[in-house]
Amino acid sequence: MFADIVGRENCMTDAAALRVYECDALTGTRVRPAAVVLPANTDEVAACVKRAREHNMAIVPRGSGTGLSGGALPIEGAVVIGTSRMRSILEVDFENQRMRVQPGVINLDISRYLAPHGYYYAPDPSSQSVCSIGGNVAENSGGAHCLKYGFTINHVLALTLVLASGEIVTIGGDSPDPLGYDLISAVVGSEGLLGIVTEVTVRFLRVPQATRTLFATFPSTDEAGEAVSQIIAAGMVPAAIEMMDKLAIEAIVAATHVDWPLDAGAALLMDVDGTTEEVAECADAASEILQRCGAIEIRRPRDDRERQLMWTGRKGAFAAMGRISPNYYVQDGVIPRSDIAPVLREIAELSHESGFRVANVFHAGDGNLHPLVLYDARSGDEAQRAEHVAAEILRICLRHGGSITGEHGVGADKSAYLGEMFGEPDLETMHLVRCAFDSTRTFNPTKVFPSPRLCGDRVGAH
Amino acid sequence: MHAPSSIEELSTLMTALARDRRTLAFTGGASPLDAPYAKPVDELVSTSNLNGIVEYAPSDQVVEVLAGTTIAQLQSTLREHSQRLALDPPEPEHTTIGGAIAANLYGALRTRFGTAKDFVIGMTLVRADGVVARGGGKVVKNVAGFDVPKLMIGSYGTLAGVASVTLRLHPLHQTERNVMFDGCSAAEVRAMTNRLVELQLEPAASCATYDGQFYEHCIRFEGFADGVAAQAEKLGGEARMEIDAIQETARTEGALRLKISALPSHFEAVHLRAIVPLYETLVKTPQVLAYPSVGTFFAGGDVDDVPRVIAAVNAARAVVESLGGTLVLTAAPAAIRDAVDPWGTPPPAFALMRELKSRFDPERRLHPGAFVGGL
Repeated sequence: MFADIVGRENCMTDAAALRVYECDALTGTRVRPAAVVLPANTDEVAACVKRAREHNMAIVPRGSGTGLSGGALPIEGAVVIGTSRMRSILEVDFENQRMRVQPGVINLDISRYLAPHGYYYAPDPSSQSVCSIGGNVAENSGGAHCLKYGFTINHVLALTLVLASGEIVTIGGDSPDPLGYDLISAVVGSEGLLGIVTEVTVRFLRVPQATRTLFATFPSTDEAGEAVSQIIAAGMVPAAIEMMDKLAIEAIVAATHVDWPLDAGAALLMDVDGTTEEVAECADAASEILQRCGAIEIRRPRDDRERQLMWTGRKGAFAAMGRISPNYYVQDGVIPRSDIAPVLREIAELSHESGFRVANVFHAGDGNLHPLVLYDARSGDEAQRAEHVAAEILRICLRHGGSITGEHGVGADKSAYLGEMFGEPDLETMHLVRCAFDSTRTFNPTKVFPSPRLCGDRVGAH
Repeated sequence: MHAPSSIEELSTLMTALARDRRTLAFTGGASPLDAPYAKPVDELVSTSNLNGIVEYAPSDQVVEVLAGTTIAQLQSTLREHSQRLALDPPEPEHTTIGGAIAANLYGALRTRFGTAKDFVIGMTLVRADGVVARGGGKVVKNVAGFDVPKLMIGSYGTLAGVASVTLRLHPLHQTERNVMFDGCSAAEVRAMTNRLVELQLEPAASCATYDGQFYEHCIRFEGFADGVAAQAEKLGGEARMEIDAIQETARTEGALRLKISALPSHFEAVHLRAIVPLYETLVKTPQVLAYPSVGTFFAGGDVDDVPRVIAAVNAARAVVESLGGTLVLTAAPAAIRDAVDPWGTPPPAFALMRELKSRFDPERRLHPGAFVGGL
């Protein structure tokens, strides 16, 4: 059906070939799509979208498939349009610190490309070595360093988008103050519901003069949480502050070559960057706070290799869980950053009551928790009960005034909880945005919104 | 003029206006009817009584504030906790947070901290039909649902009324220093802008004022004492202590005022082909202020020869648009308003914008015709 557009080898319809695309990194749910197509450019995407519409097929956009909320989970009868062949860097403008890339370009490849010139791309999700920039746009991806540098939304300057009609539109542009509504803010983080992004112009940054990394261990998450609050309260904006609890440290040590102490109750990994003198002052002040809050040990990596190792350990934390548990469910709640200690205590209680071990590894600086509920899928209904525990964790976050997702998205996984965070008028208002872009609800129709909605009704139409 | 004093009152009012099919415009500190884009409406809704802080959590560096609160009022509360909103539009005594968001206003701090988009984390809005809706939240990191709040930034009150805003804050810096370079050509300003990047310096602000011949370029560093001193020394130049080294009169004085935005690499081209001709056309000491790292120029002055000024504005706009930039009138005498579109050529995605407007405001009652392309 699409072979004439993308070539036979880039159009998959048989069961064996489709298997790879049955899920994204939310591996618990699998759905076989009708077809998967891998177009090479904007025009091919537009032609595929038109063809899908002619056949009344839903469209599921897909980047690298590393999403943790099922944003790229296929829908029955739908065509998955993947961007994995769209991997070209199209234009680089050093003076204005911007570059235009295809959506399949891997996040880390942007920084790798820029590194010899002394620049980098700031958003750094843990999956950055495999996730695509198009997927980052769909999910408004963050990462450890968004504490100081912001999320994908703060780094996207222009987009080319294919709408449900097959029409190609460009939004944003060269002006630092583009005219009209800020459609980039609508598209970034819209989880593939508004269209398919086929080109992205990102802003990149100059590498800072200096980066200093601190690693500190604490008797428990209470002291570590307090240290985070105090560092923030002291007026510092570190580039990143990550926390790992005892269980997470254990898994990371088992999976990587870091020599972190196994008897610590919690650890903080922190980056301070900026100009040399600023970094020195800030690192000293932070060390003092860490000490005052009861740090057992504070380490500074000897060289860049050791620093990279520490960060590799942190970024590989989810995968490391495999060392201590057959399965795990990654949660992604957010809480006000001063509430870390009490929320962690509540999660510990929940873990105790439910009998499920919960490892915590998260972006402490902005209160973005990633509790990992450990379970064994082979054992009875454990998977289901683990998911229930994960849901309860979200409710704890909401009770503390937080959010059900900080960076993984709502997708297929959390749509049921969106209604616990937002009221009906809020959801209805979000839906107005969707209807403006895709009134046919062709793109990712079953995702994000808790219940099916039509685009017929308009606000204020009496 | 209506001036509801709570979100509920605003909702009740908007519901009534929807029922009676009245058109309306929102007003913060300044009257939108003085703006060059203004169109006649049946009702004015002021946020002047919708003011104050709803919730402030210093330890989370987050504040929720009602739309009619002035920037100065907000900053003075934040200062007590050594924090600030790193957004510095001109005339903070009059500019309300709702107005700053509606018009996406910013000041020289954009150089380092960005725009409202980088601070707004949540919002309560009142839709055209009077329904109160929330978006975002009160945590700094959140991707739950569509980001309706960010869509309101720069929408000039044509999609919904902004009732309250939740903002992420920054710690107040320990010290600051302004480094000045006098007698700069446009080429030198651009070279200095590139040099800041090359030297890996992190100025909080960079702005340049033009006197008809030269630019005076002011670069501001903020942070810890040693860091600030080291950055300033590395750059050289003349250190000046005065806080208001940045002259913003180009944004507040003159009967005609406009903003030009283009890529920073076009600094000289915009200067030569747009700013200089405009400067020569305006009277009573025209003012020009630029944020070179951002790529924006603000020009202001008085008008005597209307047809000549109209021709100069149109010519400047043609130049700027050919460079991929935008020229927007922010103040203009009636004779110029009638002849020059305040916004310029609608962007390629205009049809999508029109669709968005029709979803949020299907009866076109929220300041109809005032926005880009007559939205």
